[in-house]
Amino acid sequence: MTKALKLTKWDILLMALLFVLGVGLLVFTVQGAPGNTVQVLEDDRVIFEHTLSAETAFEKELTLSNGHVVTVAAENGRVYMAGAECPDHTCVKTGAIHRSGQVIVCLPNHVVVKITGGEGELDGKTY
Amino acid sequence: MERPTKRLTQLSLLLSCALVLGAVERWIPLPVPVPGAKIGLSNIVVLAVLLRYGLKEALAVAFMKSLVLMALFGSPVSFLYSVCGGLGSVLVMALMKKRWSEKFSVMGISVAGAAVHYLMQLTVAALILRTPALYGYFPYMVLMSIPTGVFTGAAAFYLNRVTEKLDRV
Repeated sequence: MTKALKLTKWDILLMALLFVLGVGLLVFTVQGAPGNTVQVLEDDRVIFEHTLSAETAFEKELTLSNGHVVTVAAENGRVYMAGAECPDHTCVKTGAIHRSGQVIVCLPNHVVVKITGGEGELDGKTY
Repeated sequence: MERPTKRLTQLSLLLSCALVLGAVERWIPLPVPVPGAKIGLSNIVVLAVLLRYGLKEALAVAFMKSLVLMALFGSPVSFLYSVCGGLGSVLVMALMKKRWSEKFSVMGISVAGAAVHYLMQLTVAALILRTPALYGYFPYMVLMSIPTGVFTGAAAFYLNRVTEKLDRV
C-alpha cells in the first residue's frame, strides 16, 4: 500500500459516480405521484389496508403475530408510524410518506407500510 | 509476521477491537431515515486486516465479528444482514486491492466496500421481508457510503500504522 494517505483521481471518480447515482435515484423516487392506497404488510401478508386521499386521517393499532403492537396513522393524506414496540424506532423516525412506491419499514417486526396506486393508474372506485 | 503466534495474537487483538467498535456503533445513529444504517466502524478493522494480512484473515474477522455480535446483542436475522454485508464487502475490497491497488487508495477501496455492504444488507432485507420496495432506500445508502467509506478507509490506514509497531514488540 501507499505510504501516505491521499485520494487518487480514481477514488474521486468512484465517489463522483456514486454521488450522481444516489442523487439521480433520489430525484427519480421523490417525483412519484401521490398514491391512493396504503397497505400494511407483515412479512408478505396484508394486515391493514386503507384508501388514501388528501383528506385521509386515521389512527390504527395493529397487533402483530409476535404480540407487538404498531400504530399506523395518517393526517392530511400523509401516512406515518405513530408508535411501535421495537428496539430502534427507525420506522417512527422515518416520518410521513404519501407518494406511490414510498415505504416505511420496521425491520425488527418484519412490518412494511407502503403506498400504492395513484395517477397513471385508473382512479379507484368503490364497489 | 513470520511467527504464527504473533500473527494469531495480533489478529485476536484486532478482532476484539472490531467487537468493541461494533458494540459502540449501536449507540451512534446516523441522521438518515434508513433502518439499520450504521457508519460501519468495525469495518475499519476488517479493512485494516485485509490490507495487512490478506483475504482469508479478513473474511475470518468479518465472520467472527458478526457471530459474536449476534450472540451479544442481535438476533439470527441481524446476523444474516451483517454477515452477508460483511463478507460481500470484503470480497469486493479484496478484488480492488488485488487488481487496482495503484489506482485506488485505501479510501476508494473502502467507499466501494461500504456501498457493497449496504447493498448486500438491503438485498438480504428485501429477500427476508419479500419487499422489493426496500430498494427505495438504495439512493440514501449509495450517498451514505461516500462519507462513511472515506472515514473508515482513512481510519484503517492509521490503524495499520499502529499495528505495524506491534511487530517490533
